[in-house]
Amino acid sequence: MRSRLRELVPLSRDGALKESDGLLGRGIGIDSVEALELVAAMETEFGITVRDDELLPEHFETVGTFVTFVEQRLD
Amino acid sequence: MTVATPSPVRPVASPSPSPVDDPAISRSDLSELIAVSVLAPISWLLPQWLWVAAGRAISFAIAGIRPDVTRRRMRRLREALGPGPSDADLLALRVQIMSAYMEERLQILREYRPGGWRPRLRLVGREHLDAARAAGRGAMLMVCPFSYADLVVKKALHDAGFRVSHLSTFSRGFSPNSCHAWQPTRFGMSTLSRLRTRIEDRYLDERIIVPRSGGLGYLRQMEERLRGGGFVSFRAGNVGHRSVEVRLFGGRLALASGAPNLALSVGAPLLPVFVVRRGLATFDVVVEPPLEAAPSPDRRAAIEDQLQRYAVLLESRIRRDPYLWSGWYRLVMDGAAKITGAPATLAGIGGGA
Repeated sequence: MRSRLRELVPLSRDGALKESDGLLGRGIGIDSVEALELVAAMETEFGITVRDDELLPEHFETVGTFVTFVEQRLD
Repeated sequence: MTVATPSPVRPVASPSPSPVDDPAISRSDLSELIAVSVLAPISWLLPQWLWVAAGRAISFAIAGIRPDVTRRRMRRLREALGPGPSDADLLALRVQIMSAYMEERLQILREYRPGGWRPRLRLVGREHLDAARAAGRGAMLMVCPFSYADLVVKKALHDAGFRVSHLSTFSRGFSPNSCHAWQPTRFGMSTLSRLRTRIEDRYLDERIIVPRSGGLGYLRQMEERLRGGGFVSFRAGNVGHRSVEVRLFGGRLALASGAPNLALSVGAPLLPVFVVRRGLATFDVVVEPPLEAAPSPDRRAAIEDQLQRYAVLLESRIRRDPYLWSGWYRLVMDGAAKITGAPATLAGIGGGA
């Protein structure tokens, strides 16, 4: 999942992604549309569905929180 | 040239997790309540030709009562406009900015009177909306952050038969807390803010709200509207998760990148919309041609380019009617102003009438 994330997250392609890297608005600094695209890519990749009310900013705080968020849906 | 982030950006989430945690009321709410109590009878009882005079008289009084704030504002205007304008010009501009904002509130309050507020509105550049509709991808309307624009643009588009979804934050409205301090109050949200949104909503197909939680579901709603050929408007500003700093008047201004990014992602045109006052109650709503983005494999670079083009357009409009823009005080100045010459209308500020 992390390698797929690395492909998808803008500006992360040149460097290693760390769990603590900020994602939405800081660190890597994706914006809301890029966050939504990330979710759409994960939905396609892993066959999960993310509801509108689950798209909370805390899930996009860092790479780690986002990975955990997707993993919980895989479970 | 765009300036790299990080940049000042107002977060989309509020500091309080729920309305229950909000204070009941604030001093700013009380000030706003007093302002509305003064303005409401003026808007209902005075003819519109007296509004400008009333607005200026009140604004002059406020400028005199708060000399420290007035000095700060004038200093900022001086930084942006350079040494050209005299102190009297700057004071007149400062007062006129306040007065225009006040007059906008008079227009909204007049809407509550039977018969409402009936300005003469002309939609210029309608062909860009028609072209977007014909292309079936809708359009993102980037509405100028000018006085009068919030109500006038909605009315003009509604009157011309365009059904518009408007993006706004959960705290949109009259409450000064929701506008500036970003600490909503229960009274501000339930009563003051609704004074504005209740009127605006008459002219909207729907209001798409960025929720208190900062959740991103609203973006799916916007995307759906655009893909369905709809029009989504938003006020050009810096509320968002990421922003781009553009050059403006020799300083820097932050503009949120989310809505332009969505337009680019969906393939919908991004249409700047401006308001021009042509008379006391006569306004043009000008829809500009789509903002081009330089072809680039890097979408962020394309958005930065697009927003800088917008800044050029914005600056030319501000130079024409400097009193319409209250964003002067949000400019981050790098030092001495780099522009040459004052805005076209600064020498003869005439109330925009």
